[in-house]
Amino acid sequence: MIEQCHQLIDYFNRTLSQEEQQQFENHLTDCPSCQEELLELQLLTEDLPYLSEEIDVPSDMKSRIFATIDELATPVNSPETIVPTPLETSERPKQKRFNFAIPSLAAALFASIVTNAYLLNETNKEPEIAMSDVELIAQTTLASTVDDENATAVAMLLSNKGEELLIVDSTNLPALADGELYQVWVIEGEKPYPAGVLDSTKGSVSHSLKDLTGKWDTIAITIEKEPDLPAPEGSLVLAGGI
Amino acid sequence: MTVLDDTILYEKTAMQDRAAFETLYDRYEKLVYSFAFRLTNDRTIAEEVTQDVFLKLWNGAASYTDEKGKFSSWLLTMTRNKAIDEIRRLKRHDHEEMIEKDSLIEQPGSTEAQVEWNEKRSDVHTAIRELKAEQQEIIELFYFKGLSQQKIADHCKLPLGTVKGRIRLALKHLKGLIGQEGGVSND
Repeated sequence: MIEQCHQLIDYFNRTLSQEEQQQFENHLTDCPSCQEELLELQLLTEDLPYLSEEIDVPSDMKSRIFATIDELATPVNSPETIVPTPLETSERPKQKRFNFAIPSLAAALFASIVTNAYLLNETNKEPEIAMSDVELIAQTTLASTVDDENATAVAMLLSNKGEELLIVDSTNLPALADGELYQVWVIEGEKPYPAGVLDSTKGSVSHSLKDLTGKWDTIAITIEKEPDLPAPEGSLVLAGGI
Repeated sequence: MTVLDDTILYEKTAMQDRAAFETLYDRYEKLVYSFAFRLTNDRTIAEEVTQDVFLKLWNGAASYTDEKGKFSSWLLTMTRNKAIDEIRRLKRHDHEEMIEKDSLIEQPGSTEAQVEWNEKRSDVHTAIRELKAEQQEIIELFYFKGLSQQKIADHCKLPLGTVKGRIRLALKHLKGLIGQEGGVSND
């Protein structure tokens, strides 16, 4: 274990890989000397930010930041033209009312699917029925498994005309090394099935589950070197029950 | 010191008290933004970092307790973490060198927080100038550039195993100088 003590600087400077970071954090809990040195580094550096020269803050930065905060904190409303029929709140697989704050991209994807469904059904003059083609079967928040308080993702299982679709939208996932990717899995009991790779720039994926049948109970994201392996080989980053 | 203690404001913010959050925002906006700029040398990234830090503060993605030290230190650590992550992410996309585009230095501000910051900057500046050039450099590479131990070793032509010790020594020396009012010569 002692050989990990030399990684303290790289841990502090966040240059370790996800896996190394986790190993170091495990080491840290058992190594009083590293704990002490880390605390010391934090104390010794706490004056340094004040060396920064005062920079003129853009005059509209505050309004932009507060607008973003409001956007992300306010529950997303469906387009007005789509009036969902009252949804039951009983347990899945029945429809659920979704009054949660969906991250913007997932919301946009969802709205676009709903809108498409609506447009397809517009001619039948019963707009309420449009919603029945797209059902939110389940949604869940994936939590970090590596004690990174920032990484999170929302996963939604939708049914579009009987075809199941999984939408995953992540935020603040740690940066990947070259050649790595974020693989999404749906897990039935012990058995994982690959369910798409997160778009590396948007951090999201929309994946059809039409070739898969099962009763998914967990959704997970791992770091892999290759897409759609038969089973995860890399480290687990996020997971959540659905 | 400050009218309303940071910790109290933070606790109110955690309860989604918008006014408390805005007070904290106003108090630290400039410091967070300027520090992010000091680290990234890029206004756009500095704004992204600032947004990320305050968003985490508001939505509770990052939580603070007294045990984590001073609130301001905690906020600045979050700023640094996000900034060095961003620098690294961009470097992978071939933005090897980011160049300061224009002169952005403002007249010293007059709010209470800024007066305190100016005083502190002056103390730290004085102290850091007392350090030997190698010690100043290693602090720059380690803290402001966020380089890996290996890169610092390569850059300073030091054996890898001595880097941590050199960093600690430089930082301790600096802290000692800051502690002595106005700094003293290290001859």
